[in-house]
Amino acid sequence: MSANSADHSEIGLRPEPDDELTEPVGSARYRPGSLEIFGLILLLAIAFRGPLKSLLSQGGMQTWSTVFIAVCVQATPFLVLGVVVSGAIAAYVPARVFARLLPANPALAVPVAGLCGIALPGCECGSVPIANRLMDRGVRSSAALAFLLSAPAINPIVLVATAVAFQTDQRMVWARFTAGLLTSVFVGLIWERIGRPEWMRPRLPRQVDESELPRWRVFLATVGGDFSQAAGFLVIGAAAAATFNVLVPVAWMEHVGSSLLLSVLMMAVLAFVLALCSESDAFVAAAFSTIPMIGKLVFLTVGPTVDVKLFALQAGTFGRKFAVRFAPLTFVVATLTAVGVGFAFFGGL
Amino acid sequence: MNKETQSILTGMLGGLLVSITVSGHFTSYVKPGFRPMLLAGGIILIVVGVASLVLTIRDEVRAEKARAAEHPAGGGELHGHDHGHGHDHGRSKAPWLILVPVLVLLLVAPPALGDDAANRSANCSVPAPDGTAYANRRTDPSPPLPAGDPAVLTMQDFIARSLYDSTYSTVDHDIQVVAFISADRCAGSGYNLVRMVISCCAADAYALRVHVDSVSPYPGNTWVQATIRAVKDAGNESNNYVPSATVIAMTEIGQPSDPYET
Repeated sequence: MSANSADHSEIGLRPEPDDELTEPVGSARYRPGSLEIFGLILLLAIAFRGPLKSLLSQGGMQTWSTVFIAVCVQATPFLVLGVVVSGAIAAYVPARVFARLLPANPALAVPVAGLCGIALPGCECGSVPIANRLMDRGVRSSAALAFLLSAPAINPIVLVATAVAFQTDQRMVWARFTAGLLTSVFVGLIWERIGRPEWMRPRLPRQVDESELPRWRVFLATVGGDFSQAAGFLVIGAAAAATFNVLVPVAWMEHVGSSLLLSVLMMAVLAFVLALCSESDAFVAAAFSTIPMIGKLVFLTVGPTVDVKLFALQAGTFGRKFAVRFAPLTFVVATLTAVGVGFAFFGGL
Repeated sequence: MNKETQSILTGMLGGLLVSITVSGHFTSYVKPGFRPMLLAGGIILIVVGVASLVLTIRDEVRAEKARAAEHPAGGGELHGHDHGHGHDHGRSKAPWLILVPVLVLLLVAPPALGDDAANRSANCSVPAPDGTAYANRRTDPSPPLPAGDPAVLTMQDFIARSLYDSTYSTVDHDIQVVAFISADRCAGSGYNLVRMVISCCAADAYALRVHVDSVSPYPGNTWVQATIRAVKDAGNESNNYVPSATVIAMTEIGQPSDPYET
């Protein structure tokens, strides 16, 4: 992820004008290094531990901090899985393997990549670094994005969890699988037509010269780099999800089942703002007793493909210009696909 | 952020994951089934953090030596530690954000969801009566109560029996539940015995509530072991199906090892 750092200040992260990249190497002016800043923050936080603790233990703030930490704790193991796979690809799988594996024709490559999503048991955070690495390895971006969207929605763990949650109506498992796969293929094909390379953050040649370093060092450097990059953005997403979680009134979630259109829209928006892990969202969806099945399917299709947490991760990994186009596209396609598949599976219920 | 700091932060996050898992505090955030995943993820992060730190420092020491050999007069110091060579991921500012959960976990360690979350997830509004006649929901008998007097039930089981059991098992027998105290802001008086339910992590929690029509002997957020009996036919469409109970005995306890029901 050799991203230029101008992109980071663009998305509002510590917009300091001076920057390690633009700083002339070896300038004589004293500038505290990151280690010093890190130590200072640590000392300040310890010194102000009392006020910090009392701030975070008041009513809503306490709920916020618990949910924030819960989202971080829950997502981190999946992110680790994702960066380990991504590191293994970077270090041990040469680009030609993917060239052989995927058909050259994008109309075929996209569905094949979408189906490959079955093989990655995890939730959505893990697939972002993997998709990024696939693009580094020469996979068409539309195919890598199809994989990105399908993996969290159709892998076996998610399907089993859905079957457990919807014991009374097993059609949901296949409806979810179909809607998830179709969404990934549709978005991939649309992106193949409209996507422009300049929306993506430029892929600078990797600075770790892979031919010089032993493979395990490439692996280690990729895992460490990908993780800290993605985890930073996961934190933004977790904070956003926790904020919505505290602010969204529960009254929204119940008593809205009366109108199909309204319930579909509300479930799509809820899936975006709540940013639940795709392995647990089925339980939450099943608990919406007043929502029609189509609304629940929309929740289960939109959630794994686009939510606040993923938006932050994608903006960090692929660049903001990409995320502001890709996320709305995914949102609309996922909602429409889920409604279509829902009518096919459940009728007009 | 340079590579050393990034490695330290990664290792710290890994260490914290392992430490909350070993201490059991992780059940305040996720369900107990996450234990192996958290341990594995935490250990990988520790290994990655420590290994990257050692390698980065070793590389820099070597580079420094090479420079010193080239310029014995000592012109190399200016090219100090922070503006290094070939730091692939060394420039982004995103990794700084990892400090937020690390510091919150390290210094605050937020407790399990309690009173505030229970009230936030409570929906007091009741649809206006539209003349619908609701069918009796007590169609089937529940399975026999577990052995013991009082019988120990989960809150989910107690509520399901109180609402739907045609044999009224929770009305006629003493039942022991574990819950925390929360003021009842819907009924306006009395208090609730609450247990939160999660299916994955605290982000998807909702509250199971049983109303008690008296003044609470403990403040909100106190965990209690309570022996209760359901009030006959108390939960219905006019109170969002929150059953009521009378308390027979109640003792304060510490937070259970798994504060949530799943």
